[in-house]
Amino acid sequence: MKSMKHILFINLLTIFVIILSACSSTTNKSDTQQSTTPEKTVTTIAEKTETTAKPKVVSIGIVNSPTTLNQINHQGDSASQTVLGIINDSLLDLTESFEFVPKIAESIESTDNQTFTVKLNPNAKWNDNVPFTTADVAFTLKTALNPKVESTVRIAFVDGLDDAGKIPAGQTEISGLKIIDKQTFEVKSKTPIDPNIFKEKFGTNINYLPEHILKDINPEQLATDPYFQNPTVTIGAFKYSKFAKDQYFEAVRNENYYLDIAKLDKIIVKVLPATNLVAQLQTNEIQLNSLPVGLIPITDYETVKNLPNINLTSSTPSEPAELFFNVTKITDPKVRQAFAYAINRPLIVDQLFKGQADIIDGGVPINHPYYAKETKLYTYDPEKAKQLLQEANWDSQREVSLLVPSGNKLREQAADILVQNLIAVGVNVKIQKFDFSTLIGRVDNGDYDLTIFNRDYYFEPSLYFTLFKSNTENNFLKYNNPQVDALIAQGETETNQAKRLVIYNQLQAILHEELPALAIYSEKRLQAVSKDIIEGKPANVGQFNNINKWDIKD
Amino acid sequence: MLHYIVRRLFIAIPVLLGITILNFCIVNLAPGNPVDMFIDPNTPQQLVEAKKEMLGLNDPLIIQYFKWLWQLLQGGFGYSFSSFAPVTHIIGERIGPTLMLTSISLTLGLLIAIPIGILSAVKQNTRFDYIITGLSFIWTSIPQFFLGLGLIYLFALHFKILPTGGMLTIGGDANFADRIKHLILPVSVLTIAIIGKKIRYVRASMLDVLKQDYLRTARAKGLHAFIVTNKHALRNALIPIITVFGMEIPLLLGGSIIIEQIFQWPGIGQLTMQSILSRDYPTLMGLNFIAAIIVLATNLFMDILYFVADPRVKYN
Amino acid sequence: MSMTDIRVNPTTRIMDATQMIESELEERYTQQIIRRFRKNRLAVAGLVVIILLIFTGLFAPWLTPHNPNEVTAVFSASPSTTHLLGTDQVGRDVLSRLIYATRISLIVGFITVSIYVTIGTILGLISAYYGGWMDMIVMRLADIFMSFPYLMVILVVVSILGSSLTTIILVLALFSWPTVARLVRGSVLSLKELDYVKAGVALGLSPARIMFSHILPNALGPIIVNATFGVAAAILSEAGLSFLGMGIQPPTPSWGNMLSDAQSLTVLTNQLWLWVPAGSILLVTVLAINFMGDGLRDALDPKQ
Repeated sequence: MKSMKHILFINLLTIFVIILSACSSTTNKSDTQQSTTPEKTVTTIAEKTETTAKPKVVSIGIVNSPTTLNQINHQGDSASQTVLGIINDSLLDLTESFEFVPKIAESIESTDNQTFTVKLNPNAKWNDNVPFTTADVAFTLKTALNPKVESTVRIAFVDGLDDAGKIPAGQTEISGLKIIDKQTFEVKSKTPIDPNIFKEKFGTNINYLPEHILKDINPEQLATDPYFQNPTVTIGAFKYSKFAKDQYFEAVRNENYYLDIAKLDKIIVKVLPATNLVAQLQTNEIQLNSLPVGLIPITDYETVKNLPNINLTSSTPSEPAELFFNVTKITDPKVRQAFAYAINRPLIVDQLFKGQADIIDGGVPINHPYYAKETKLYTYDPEKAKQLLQEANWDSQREVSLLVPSGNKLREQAADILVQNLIAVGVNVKIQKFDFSTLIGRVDNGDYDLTIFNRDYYFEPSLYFTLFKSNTENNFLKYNNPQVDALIAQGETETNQAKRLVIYNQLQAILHEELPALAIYSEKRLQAVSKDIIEGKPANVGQFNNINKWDIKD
Repeated sequence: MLHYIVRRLFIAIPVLLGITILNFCIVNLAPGNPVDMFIDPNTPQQLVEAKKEMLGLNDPLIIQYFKWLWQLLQGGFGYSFSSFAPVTHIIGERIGPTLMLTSISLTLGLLIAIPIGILSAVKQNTRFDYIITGLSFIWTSIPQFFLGLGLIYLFALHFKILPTGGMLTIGGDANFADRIKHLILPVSVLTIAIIGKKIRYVRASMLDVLKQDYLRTARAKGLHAFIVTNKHALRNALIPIITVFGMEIPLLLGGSIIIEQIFQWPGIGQLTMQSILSRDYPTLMGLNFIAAIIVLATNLFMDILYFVADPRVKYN
Repeated sequence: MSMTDIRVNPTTRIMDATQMIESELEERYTQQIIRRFRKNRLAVAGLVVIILLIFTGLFAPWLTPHNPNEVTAVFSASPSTTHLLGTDQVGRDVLSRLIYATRISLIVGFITVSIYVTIGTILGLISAYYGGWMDMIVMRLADIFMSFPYLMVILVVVSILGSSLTTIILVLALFSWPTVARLVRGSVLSLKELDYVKAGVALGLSPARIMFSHILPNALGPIIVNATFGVAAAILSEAGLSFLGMGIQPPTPSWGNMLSDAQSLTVLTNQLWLWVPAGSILLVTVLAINFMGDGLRDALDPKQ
């Protein structure tokens, strides 16, 4: 009996360990199979085209992990947008200096700023050599704007679409879209708009679906179609090769590109924690970081600056971190101004950001064409802050909650400094940190006094101000000012740039006085590029606009 | 015994069901939802509602739960809310790397800790014992992320002999040697933590047992020390040892999350973090379900091992 | 006690006497433990360290040279005469933060363990002693807790109750009791079949008496080892949670969040004052706890 039990015991234990190692080794095998095949094909192509040179591969480091490769449903995820930009062209692209360059479209013209004629490049074709025509445009728009389809594309200004930017229920056609021929189509907007806005919103922000591949799929089940797990057919200088989620994304040169064929053989986007990103820049395992999802922590500024193989520059200013006031709780503008004087923003910029940031008061970045240049910024003046608080009869016992999202270390540290500054002038602030999702939930419910986070970078100025419209559900500030509402409405409909500038300057001035939101800092992000790179760099805008020209030394 | 196993298996089903219900409640208790956080503040409410509708988030919780259960009975976990890939596919891809990492570490830990622990107990209060004790204390005192970072700095940046992370060299040859190179650092960190703890447990259990009278009797009877140690003592020290190794098994799936973050190891830990932060309910439910099964299975297995290892244990 | 009582109930008198003798023996037992403990120098050293740390935590406000949350003008300043350990990345005095962090980390460690060891031991004892359905229920409960998604629950609890000391302790305790329960159950399953336990049952002693006086003392070894590791593990778990962004949040200092600031290679190599103090004190504390626990285990062992 005893020996039987012994045997049973040993057997059970052995079986257990074997099962465990078997599980891991079978997955090992499949992994090796998966990874060896693409490698083989790529190296053979490279060997054919360049006989002795090793393949030109550029690796980019990012910190956030892309969630999806669906070109019409990026869900606002910047990391996904980054990798999508490598394999998907849009009609036009933007450079860092805000100039438009033609891609799939040769030109977008308009005579009345209401009807826009788009002429496609006659050579435009998908990477499987099928020509890109207006059929693809129509298919993509009808699918993406179908409210029953999972898609983040919405264009509210196009005629025939509802206010949400989608095709109204019950209809299948878009009345504002007119197909003229295989290379030309027209888009009519509901009211005249600034042509640059049209080019940015319609021209650069929409990616296309291959009609010849997806036309028979039921639109409602499009999102789960396997095409999007392996989007091999796209239109871009590079094409999809492999996506190992949370590890890396790989794209190889599209030999059938309709513009100049890319010089690089392969681009790899690696997902790394910030520490490893810096480490890999050092070891040359990556050659670039990326904006906005591959940020180099400012703590490592000196280290990266001193790396012998890296060129480090600062980007143009990015969207600021803003302190938002719940105006129903902190009702007196004097109090809000007092807070502005109390916060030691120069210290934050000099010490925390090592000078790599700008101080502005509003949400519009300093290099944006619509930035109100005449604004007199709030200075750091704690005495003035105390004075204002006294004038407003501020109760120093009153507890003020500041909600801070976790995940951005610098912002959290800036918040800590901010809190100390406010305590120093007699405001009883308590910090609460939450993950972003929880924070948004609380903020939407009005369950906060102060909160701090970054919005997005918008080219179109009106987007910075919809937050302050009194009748939007998204106005979590609950800010209500009829004068501001009027100006916002005016700005949205005015097409003349000079007149718009006047309107937006006025708007920014009012908001500057009332201060429902105060910008704390506008970061100039670090751009690290290996000295081996001949062309190519991270950028806030238009990072991949010339990706086919990117090159690396042999 | 068989009766006991059958009874346990029967009970496992309602327990599993209970666990899924509890998990579902927890997952939905977390404030925020998958839609709100991806939404650009300029998105009209109508679209937000439409999206919630499409993801089935507007149905009452009970309906959502039963829809999930129905899907489960049909053999699937549904589609991820963020990537729309099938959850079974997502989890399947990640479970291998995690298991590989943790099972290798656990096995290595076992192989190193048991003999050393026994030796340490047998040679109690000798220099060997003190050194081992000291070392194991130190190993358990260092936070994992710290050790990981330190090792990366030392071996990847300073000596440049090992990679900084990942499972393979991207764009390179995925051969065996490459895999091993990538495994060394993460496995070291995990194993060191395991060894530190386990040596103490093994040693403590052995010490408890070594003091028993019947062993003195055996020695007095003239049995050789080796046999006394291994045949008699070890078997009785086995129960706590088994328990303690059993504890590690659920950690096989959950305990490597920090290592996975640091070394960019594409495993279940990372997936869990991502899913939690993005409120990817289907993936979370899938992960939790698998974790539950593993825990239940392990505990049953451990209980069976107890019975086999110690003849005095009875289940009524 | 009058003569009439004795005549009426002779056994009472005898029971009283037994109790008196027993209590004398217990007293000598405790003294014995203390004596044995004192012999182990490392354990005593550990105890001294822990007591020192507790004092530091208690008298923190009087010991700190600066306000631990005050932001000074130079961030990441290296150690100087005004700031003995330099300032951190937001210009706060490292030494002051270290002292306050002692409070936090010790509270997390000791309270968490007290809670879950108590729960786990009681449940484990009951489960193994009574067996049958009781065993089934408690163990399935343990299974459920063990299979809970650790991070998910932390996130939920933290988001509802905020990431304070209480919530961290609550959550850590919630996830740790099953291990102790299973450990205790394992020991008790063997122990309850021993002869002297069966004798106790035969004598008609109450289950509580048997569990706590007869069985528990012999199962104490692994429990104590588990508890001492537990304190260290709880402190380390908090550090791990800080790394993941879910532990005690700054500005409240904890060794964990001070250490997790070291997640940058620059800090790791060039700004040692930012992490070495927290790391060292963490190491020393954990070592001290372990040595002390080890000494306790040896001291409690009647077979020394």
